[in-house]
Amino acid sequence: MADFDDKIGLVELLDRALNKGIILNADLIVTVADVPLLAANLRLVLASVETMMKFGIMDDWLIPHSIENKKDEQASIIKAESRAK
Amino acid sequence: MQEKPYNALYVYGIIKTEESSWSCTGLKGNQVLMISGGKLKALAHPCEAKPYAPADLENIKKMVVEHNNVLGTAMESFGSVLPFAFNTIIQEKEGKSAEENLKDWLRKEEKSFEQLLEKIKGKKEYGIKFFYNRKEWIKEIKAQSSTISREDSGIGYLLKGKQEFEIKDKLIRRLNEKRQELFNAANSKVNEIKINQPKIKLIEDEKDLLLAVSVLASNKEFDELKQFLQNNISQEDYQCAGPFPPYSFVGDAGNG
Repeated sequence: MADFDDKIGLVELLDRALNKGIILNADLIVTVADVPLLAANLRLVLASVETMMKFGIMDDWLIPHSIENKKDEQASIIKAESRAK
Repeated sequence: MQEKPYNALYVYGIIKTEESSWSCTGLKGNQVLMISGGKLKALAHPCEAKPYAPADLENIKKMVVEHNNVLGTAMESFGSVLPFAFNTIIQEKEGKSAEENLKDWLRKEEKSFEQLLEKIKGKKEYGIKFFYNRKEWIKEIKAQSSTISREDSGIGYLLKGKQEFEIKDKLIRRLNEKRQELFNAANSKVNEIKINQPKIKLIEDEKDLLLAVSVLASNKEFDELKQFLQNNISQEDYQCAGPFPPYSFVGDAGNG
């Protein structure tokens, strides 16, 4: 397995070991009330949460992003037009 | 002194083996046990029915690495392992002990877990992140656009807004094309690939993330992918991490 002394490997490990893996029926597992806190601690000390698009597949990830940007841009053009008048 | 009531099980992963004993130390020095359910075995240790709550970052890191080390050792001993996330604890429920619940669940999901173990056999997970220089890309796109004279006039103002829109649009198109190109290139070299949405980022990391993926690959496949990256992409524009147990490739199973 990888050497987790280096920061990159450790961050990648935390990202996986805290968020992924086999999903067990929720009613069988102990409610992990402290995990959001734990994640919050991690974010404060180590990291910032990236405000990235939700992406399942490539298209889902990319298309809404483009549309959203276009909408913002169109709104700013309309504003600019009305100011110019 | 009264003994602690260990009525729950901290689970690390699922394996398939004929062996009945295995020696491995897990979290906080606990001995990892093999609990059989049908043809499968879960790696676990008895614990209280409450999650571990490490007090600080150092302890979080230490425990997550310990969790991962158990899975790494299991991969070496048994070939493949289906990993659980850190802090997965099975509890007693409706008169059934945690062990009975775990065994029932293993039996119920036996077929899908066997298929999944077969799929990941001899393969490991690696993380790859690709970066780009956003400022530089915008500069390049701007250099290709025409200059607007008299920006202070009404028409100049409108044209500037239109040009900014076009620059953003070109940037998004270029990002999409590059992401697709990198995704396709990596995909052609490995067994399976998934796009990641990283939740944790190094504060000092100021690079602009273009694409983050997890790949499931054999040693040979990953060597070929690394060779491809070395030959085609500047060393500063990507980073590889791993190997990891296949955390990103088992999430669809077990809830069935």
